[in-house]
Amino acid sequence: MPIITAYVGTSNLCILLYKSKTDYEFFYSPYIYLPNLFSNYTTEEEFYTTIIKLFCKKNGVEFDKCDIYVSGFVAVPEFKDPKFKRVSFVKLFDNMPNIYPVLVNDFAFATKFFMVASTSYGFLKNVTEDTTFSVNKCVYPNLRPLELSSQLTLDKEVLDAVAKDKAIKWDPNTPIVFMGSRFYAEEERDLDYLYMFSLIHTPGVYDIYLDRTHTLLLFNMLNTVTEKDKLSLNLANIEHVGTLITGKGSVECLISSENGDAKVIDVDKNTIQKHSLEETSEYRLVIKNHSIGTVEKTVFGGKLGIIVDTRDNKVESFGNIRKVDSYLRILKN
Amino acid sequence: MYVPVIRKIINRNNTFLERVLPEKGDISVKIGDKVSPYNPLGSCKISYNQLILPQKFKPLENLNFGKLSQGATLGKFKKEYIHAPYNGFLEKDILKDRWIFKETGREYTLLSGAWGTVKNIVEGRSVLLEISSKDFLMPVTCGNICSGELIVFPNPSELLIGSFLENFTKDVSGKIFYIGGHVGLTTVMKAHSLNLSTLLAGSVSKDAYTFAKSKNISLGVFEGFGEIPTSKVIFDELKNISSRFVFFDVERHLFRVPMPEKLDNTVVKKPLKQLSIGDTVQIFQAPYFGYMGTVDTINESSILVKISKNSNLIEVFMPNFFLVL
Repeated sequence: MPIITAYVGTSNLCILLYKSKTDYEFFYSPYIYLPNLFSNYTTEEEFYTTIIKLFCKKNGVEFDKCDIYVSGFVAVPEFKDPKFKRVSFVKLFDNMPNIYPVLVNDFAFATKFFMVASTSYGFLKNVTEDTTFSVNKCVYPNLRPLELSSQLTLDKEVLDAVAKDKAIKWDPNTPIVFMGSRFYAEEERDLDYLYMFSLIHTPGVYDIYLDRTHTLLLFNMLNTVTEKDKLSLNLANIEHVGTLITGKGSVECLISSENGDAKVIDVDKNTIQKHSLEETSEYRLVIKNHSIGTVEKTVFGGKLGIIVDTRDNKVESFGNIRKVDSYLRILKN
Repeated sequence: MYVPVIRKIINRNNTFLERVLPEKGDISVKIGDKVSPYNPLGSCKISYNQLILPQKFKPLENLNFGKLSQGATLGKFKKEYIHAPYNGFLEKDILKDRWIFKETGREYTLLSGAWGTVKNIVEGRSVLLEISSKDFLMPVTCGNICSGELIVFPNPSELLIGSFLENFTKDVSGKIFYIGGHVGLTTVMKAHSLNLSTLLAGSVSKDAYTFAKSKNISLGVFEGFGEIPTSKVIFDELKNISSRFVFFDVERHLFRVPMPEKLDNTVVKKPLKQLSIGDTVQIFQAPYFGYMGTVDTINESSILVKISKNSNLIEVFMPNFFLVL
């Protein structure tokens, strides 16, 4: 019997249709049920049922023959039809083995056993009257800003909230996987990377991954509900961004490749530097920094390679569009 | 490309409307009766004023508690006599162990407010009507559920709304005001100073919304925040129903207008529809945030939209648009 697992975010919907270990399909939608807009004629249940039925039809699967499991953040949608089984997001998220998941949307940040929200009364705190887009996010949360300034306004809200909370403990020993509606996009965006690096404020050397389409979450839901590892939570299924070295003050890093080449990079304080590497090759790093200490680590190149981030105040620098633009240029090159 | 549908106005022929007496009274209609907006459904007596007397108040002996005229002595508190401020009666609040002087109840008549059929009755309390209505979507609302006579201003500019409010708000009780395409803080503050309790508009500024919420003003907005004009399709309907008795359901984001005749409601209400060229969409992308337009071209992740006959095509990216039916 086919199994459908669906995740409803604050601004997007991701669905997995599982038929067998080698035959499964994804579906993504940038639209979710918005009670302020649709409650006058339809329900959340009818909305999602319509989408799932369309997806089933497209894949030649009978809707009635599927087992359907739905989870969501912050709330799991309500269904009267017993066919839909609700799965606790916290249960899924906290039980992702061997990774450190970080979920970010335009309003909240969550990691294992921890969550922080940036909104008050549904409004974003720092929006001004002229930012029609941002102020309407509480009515139309799925909208995507096209202007850099609007996206920065949204991102800074969450960054502020995360930076203020000292309870977040970043773990350099486990791969960090970013996911959530904030990163949902069909195209690659450099700002997403800069935003991820800005969220991590504890000095350390981190292995960074990005799961734009909640693949691991959907796999984990499937494995949890069936109590079998039907699809493995393999990091190869998602984008490997690279290695982030973040610390206060200057950083010295020795990079040795598999074929014996070695290179030393020195990075001044209060800047970002990128050092591209072969995406799938293995490298040995020796890092020296007064806040990190001396660290030795073996890493794979990843999409960006090594990023050394020594910015003093990540939140503040994110609020300055000129600075952001210069950092984006560094990441692009 | 499947896109969710916003239905700004929905025609309904089986809307249930409950009309409730504020106090227990008499219902004067029966199940199956056809009613019009000015038909009485029932009546009761309600006291508009009451005086809560101090805890140590002692009523006079041999006082006729049930009928007391204005000026009559009610009793003593400490060494002072307390007199009736209006005609009324004295009642003991047993739960709080205190006396309350209530004004003699005045006749209150509950009007239907809509064309419809009586479907059910709760004896002495309420009447359930089945009516035809046009339901307007209000994405942004705050305040309380209310009903009243609709007054429609002709989309005056923000500068003129002030003088409209002063000239057309002599009797504001029980009225719902559509005050324009956009309202800012100054307008809402002015409306509050004139005791307007229910306001409708095309869009609202964040400050004005926050102010309305803090003052418990019922506010409904047809489009969203910012300076989005009221859609033509909505304003065209509103101007035809000025003076109509209407209902504003804050919780359900609905502005309900009873209609005298059966409406065409044959449209299939699917939440998503495959986008086609010629469809009407609402754009939520700068610089045309809130504007309506017609789909000209459909690409993989964007569409080209024409806002008016002579305008250039505008590229709008998914998901910054919704279909409007």
